[in-house]
Amino acid sequence: MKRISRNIVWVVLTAAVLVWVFRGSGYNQFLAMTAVNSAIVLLGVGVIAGDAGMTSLCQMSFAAVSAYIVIRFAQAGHPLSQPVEILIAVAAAGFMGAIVSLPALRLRTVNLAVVTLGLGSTVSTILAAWTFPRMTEHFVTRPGFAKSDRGFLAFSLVLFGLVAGSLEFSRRRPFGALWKSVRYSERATAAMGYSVTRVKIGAFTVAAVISGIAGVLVVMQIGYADSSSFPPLLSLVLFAVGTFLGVWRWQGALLGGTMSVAIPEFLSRRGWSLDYANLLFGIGATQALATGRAVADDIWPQPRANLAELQPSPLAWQNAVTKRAVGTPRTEPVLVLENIVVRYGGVTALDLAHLEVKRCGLVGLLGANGAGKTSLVDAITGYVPYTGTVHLAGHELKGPPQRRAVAGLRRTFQQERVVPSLSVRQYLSLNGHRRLEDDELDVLLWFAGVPSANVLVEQLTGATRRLLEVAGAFASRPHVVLLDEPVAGLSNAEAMIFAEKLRDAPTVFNSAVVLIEHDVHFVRSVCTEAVALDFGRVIGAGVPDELLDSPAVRAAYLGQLESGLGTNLEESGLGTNLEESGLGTNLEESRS
Amino acid sequence: MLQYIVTGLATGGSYALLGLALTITHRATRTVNFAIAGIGTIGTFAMSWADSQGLPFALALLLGVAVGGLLGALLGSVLVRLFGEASVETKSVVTIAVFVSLLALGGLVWKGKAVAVPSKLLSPAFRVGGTPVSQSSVVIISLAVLLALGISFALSHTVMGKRLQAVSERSTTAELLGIDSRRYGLVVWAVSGAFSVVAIWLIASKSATEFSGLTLYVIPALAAALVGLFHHLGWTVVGGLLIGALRSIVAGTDRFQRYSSVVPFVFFLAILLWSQRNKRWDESR
Repeated sequence: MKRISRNIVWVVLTAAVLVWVFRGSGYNQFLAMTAVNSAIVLLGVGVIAGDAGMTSLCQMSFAAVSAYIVIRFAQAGHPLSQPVEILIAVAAAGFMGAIVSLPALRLRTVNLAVVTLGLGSTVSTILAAWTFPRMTEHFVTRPGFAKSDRGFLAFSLVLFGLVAGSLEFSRRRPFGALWKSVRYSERATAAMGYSVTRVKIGAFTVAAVISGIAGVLVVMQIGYADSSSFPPLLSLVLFAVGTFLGVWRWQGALLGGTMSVAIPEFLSRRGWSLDYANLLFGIGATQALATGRAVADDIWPQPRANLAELQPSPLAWQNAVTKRAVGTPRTEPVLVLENIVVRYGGVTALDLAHLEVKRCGLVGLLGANGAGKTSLVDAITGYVPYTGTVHLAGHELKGPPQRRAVAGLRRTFQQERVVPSLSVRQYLSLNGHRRLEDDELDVLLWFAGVPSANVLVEQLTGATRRLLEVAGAFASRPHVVLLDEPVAGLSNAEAMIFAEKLRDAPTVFNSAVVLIEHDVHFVRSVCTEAVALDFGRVIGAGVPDELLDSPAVRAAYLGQLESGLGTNLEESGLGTNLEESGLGTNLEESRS
Repeated sequence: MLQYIVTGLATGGSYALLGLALTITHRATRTVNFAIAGIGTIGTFAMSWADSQGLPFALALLLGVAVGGLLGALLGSVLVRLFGEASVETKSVVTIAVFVSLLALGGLVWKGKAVAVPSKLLSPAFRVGGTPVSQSSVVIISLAVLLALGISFALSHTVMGKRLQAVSERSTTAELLGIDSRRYGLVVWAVSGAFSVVAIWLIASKSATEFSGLTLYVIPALAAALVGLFHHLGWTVVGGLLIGALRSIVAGTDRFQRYSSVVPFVFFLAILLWSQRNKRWDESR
């Protein structure tokens, strides 16, 4: 109710402003056009800074470039039809955006801020040196249906709506959802099978194209422009406005555009300095960064599903368990590792001669801290350089993490990396690389213990997020899923409930599972096979119960008791393993 | 040619000094301070005001440097208080917002007017191949070199330096060891603010410039700091001098004169592309 009445207030307010603008003088419409222009640029700022978390300080330069091209075409007497010329100008801005993002793709995003600040001043220098073509007879004309000021303002508003609408649409699709994913974790994005590079270039190009559109509108508004229409410092101010107001929501962008015109107008009518406006934006941005909430987040909070009202349904899962493929041959190996060696500087962390995982197998990987378990996962999924070969379903795996993930080798992380700002549905669909059917979703939801696909990930507890990450890894039904301590942080009861589901997972999803876990009890109850690592080498393999009882494994876990010297234990680094291995009496404690 | 290099090196000394200020702040507090030149400009203009009030030059300079140090410490304390645990990105974005505020502040106080700054030591110290080298150039370049050497030495050979290293690399662990990381951070912020006043003063003393123009010297400073990858003080100085000299050479040619401010940007691109040639997966992301 509260939300509806608040929305009514905003609709009425917006309508009143629109009536005032359209019925008022040409000056009102001129101001409004400028506001809409800024709002469009701010939509781009929202993509690059808000969604993708990259700092771009040259959005006005993209506008300047497209404006320059449009003017050049006009001056040459329109060699092409005007729509084509505009398309070329906007595309040029987008192309420039893609180029600019290149130097900062694999580095911290603060370098992008440095590059774009430099680019902003460079573009301004170059365009000032070239000088915008003098306008003597060929002005850039407005399109025929929007000749009047009112018409052109309406046209600008429609364009804003189109851009905002397509961004909202993109954000619901993988294309836009991945921007948030890259912002949250690049490693996780690659683990889901997406190229971080491509996502970043995409975000930058989209933002530059949007600026390019605004650049064309600026020229059409008054018929010409010069380099002073696009001062490089304005890009910084718009960045501050965007951070302050929260322009990753279209409402925030519209509010930002309005404020960036209304406040200076108010100040100048009073004869006050326009600098007060920028002072406000700078301080507001600092405030928003400190609290982590922008103005738009407070005015238009994101709707949240009520978790308490939702009940997950086990039906789909039960169906999947009964329908699962029975009698599939389980002897053929799906993952074969040969001579995998990982070195960190002079230390050999892993030296694995041979390891096989059978199709739909459930293999536990045991070992103390530093035994090389996570190194193994990081290496074969492409995050850490190694020597040796990995064969997945008969093909050799090579290349970056995303290529391996797409080929069917999925992983989870020791510290969960589920993108909190996405909905569960979005997260699972990203992982599945396709639109998931309802019953597929239900299977994954029950598996992870998530009540509904419509809740936001940030509404879930840490333990549920872990399991959601596991469900995500299965969503594309890969050949092999590598789970890095999936039940760390879960209570014993939660872990046992999950153990039961995980036992069925390989046949339900047709995927083999390699499970890294310190909780030996969990491994015993889930896995059919186990491999023990110590100092990077395999020291035993077999049925979990037998393996855990073998002298070599007991020695690795508990230390060489027969040597009788306490100092030996410490020197070998095994002294601390008792607790972590879960072999200590207190299972609960070892998990927390 | 030689003439351009000699004059360029003098400006390069200022870039180097600003670059050093950026590098030490980044090393100690994990922040790229985009507002550095803004702070330097306010300090410089404060000094110019004090000078116009009839204060002796040395006192005026001292006052300007103190204003810069104070502003630096103020910004530092805001960052420490509100963004202590934030990432490099967030803290650096905060300095961008502060930069926008400083630009507005400068506009309010000085209203876009060019301010003449008292200049000293402009008489030639000696000549290189017929080109006079001013005393101020000698001072700024030796200052940058000495500071780089001195800070590097202090970081690795004094207790305070080692504590600073500890604070910069693992601030929480350093606190557990009983080091007051806030205090050390603030000292660095203040010192970098003071440096920036000296650097901007030397740039501004050549010709009267308005506020926002001077604040943009953060761009060549960032380029200089990038040459040292925001870590190596020596390379930062080399980078600053190199950019200064190149810019001066470009400005001396008839054809490319107007593009001289593009030089730092070309540097950015070259260094960034080179430094990420075999970048691996960063654990933090």
